[in-house]
Amino acid sequence: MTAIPTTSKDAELAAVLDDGRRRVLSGVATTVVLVLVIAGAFAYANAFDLERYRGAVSTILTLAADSFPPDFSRWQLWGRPLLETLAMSIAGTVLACMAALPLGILAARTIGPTWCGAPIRLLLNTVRSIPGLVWGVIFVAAVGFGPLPGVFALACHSTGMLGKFYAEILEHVDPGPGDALRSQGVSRLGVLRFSVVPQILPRLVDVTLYRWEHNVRAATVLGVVGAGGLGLEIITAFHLFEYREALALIIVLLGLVTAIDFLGAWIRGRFLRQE
Amino acid sequence: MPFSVTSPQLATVTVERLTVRRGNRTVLHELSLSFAEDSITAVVGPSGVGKTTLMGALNGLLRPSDGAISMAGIGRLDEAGTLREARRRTATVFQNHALIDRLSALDNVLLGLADSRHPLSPLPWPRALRERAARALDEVGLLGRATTRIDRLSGGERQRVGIARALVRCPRLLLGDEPFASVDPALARRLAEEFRRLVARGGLTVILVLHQLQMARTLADRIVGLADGRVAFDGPAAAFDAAAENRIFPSHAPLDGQGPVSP
Repeated sequence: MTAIPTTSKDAELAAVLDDGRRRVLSGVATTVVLVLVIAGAFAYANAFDLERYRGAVSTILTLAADSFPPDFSRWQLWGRPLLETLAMSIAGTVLACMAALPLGILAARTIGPTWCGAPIRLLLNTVRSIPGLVWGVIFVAAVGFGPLPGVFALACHSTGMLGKFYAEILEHVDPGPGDALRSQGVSRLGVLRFSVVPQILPRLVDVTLYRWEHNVRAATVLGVVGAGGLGLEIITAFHLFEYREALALIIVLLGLVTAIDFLGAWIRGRFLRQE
Repeated sequence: MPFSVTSPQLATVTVERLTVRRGNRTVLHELSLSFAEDSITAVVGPSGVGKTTLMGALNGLLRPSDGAISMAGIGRLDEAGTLREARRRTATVFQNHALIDRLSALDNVLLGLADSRHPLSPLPWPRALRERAARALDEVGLLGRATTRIDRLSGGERQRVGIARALVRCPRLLLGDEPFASVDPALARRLAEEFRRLVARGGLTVILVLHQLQMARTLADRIVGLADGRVAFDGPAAAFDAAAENRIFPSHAPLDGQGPVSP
């Protein structure tokens, strides 16, 4: 340590302190830009135009009052749409999972071949950018009304999201155990099977279960374009101004989503418990 | 080619004019060494000198930018076929353990046998392999922790799982990057004896990166000291005296100085 002359040490010290000041300045600049962007977004949406809020609360209260008490009188007719929604969400999620796994592996920068990463990511972005409703319209036209177009619509939209998430999970995997396998002559496929999959399995299950829960809600919205299920019932009730029945249907949907949430938590718990 | 004075037997691994670059930095400069069968070689040197890089080159994780590595009975490891063949006979104990946290100790040791299975086989690990893995855990004194997840083990226990994963392969070449760094001294001595016993049984070449010089002197047959990416000492462990130590670890030298300063 004695070898470094004092003057150069002073210069080094000054450089370290200068770096700290630069960080503070850039932090302040970032905050200012962020606040401006957020305020701009609200202003652009006319959120500061107080005139727009006149009568808003009373209208919402009237709608809420019209929906009370919820009307469950036609509950015998809801079993089929409920099962349709459930079936759509399960089949759509499974199809998406099967498509997203190979795509995610190819898209991951650390695992797939380098040349195919960018086009696959573009494909996933494209699939994700097309709204679920548009997918619904396309598949209703292709295979007719009912839950089947819903399955494909959910699968397409979910593939875009799951593929991206799978790829990111794959990119963050610890390369150490995989290197250990390579150093003893295990092939790329073997590294994937014996090191990568065991490491990422809980997170894959996590993301996929979350997407399933999301798909139950998305399946409802797909009812709007004729893809059947609980959503069709809710939209029909709304169009007939049967707000009390619509509320009852929404409560049923809430029950379904909550049940799936609990089921997901139970599956996750089983998966994470190894011993 | 400078053969070691301590290796009258056949050389298992031979390194010829090996140069390895990492990024823009040349870590190893035209290294030439050979490692004799049935011997333990300790590689010592200050941190950053290229010890881990040498291990990486020997097990093929790092590609040499120049020079060659060859293994007895296989030849030069510069193509996929020979490299795979050499790797099948090699096992490495990694400095950072390189274990899978959420798997049990036994499942991690089984990874040492992963090349004996087809990667797409959906079957569970065969009983015979599981028994081999359990015996390997027993050798490092961890049979009682076989079903415990790695993330619940201490640093020393993880390191022993890493050693078991290497030993379960029954390798011809065993590489270890600071294999006893997080093990307490008594246990380190026991594991060192285990290595000695395996070498005495024959057919095994051991190359260990060690930072405890005392351990290097007692465990190894031969010591290779690296300085500045080159061989600065190569001889029997007994010949690694204070002068040699000072040459390789110039602790009192000025940072930009050339040679060691006499203490």
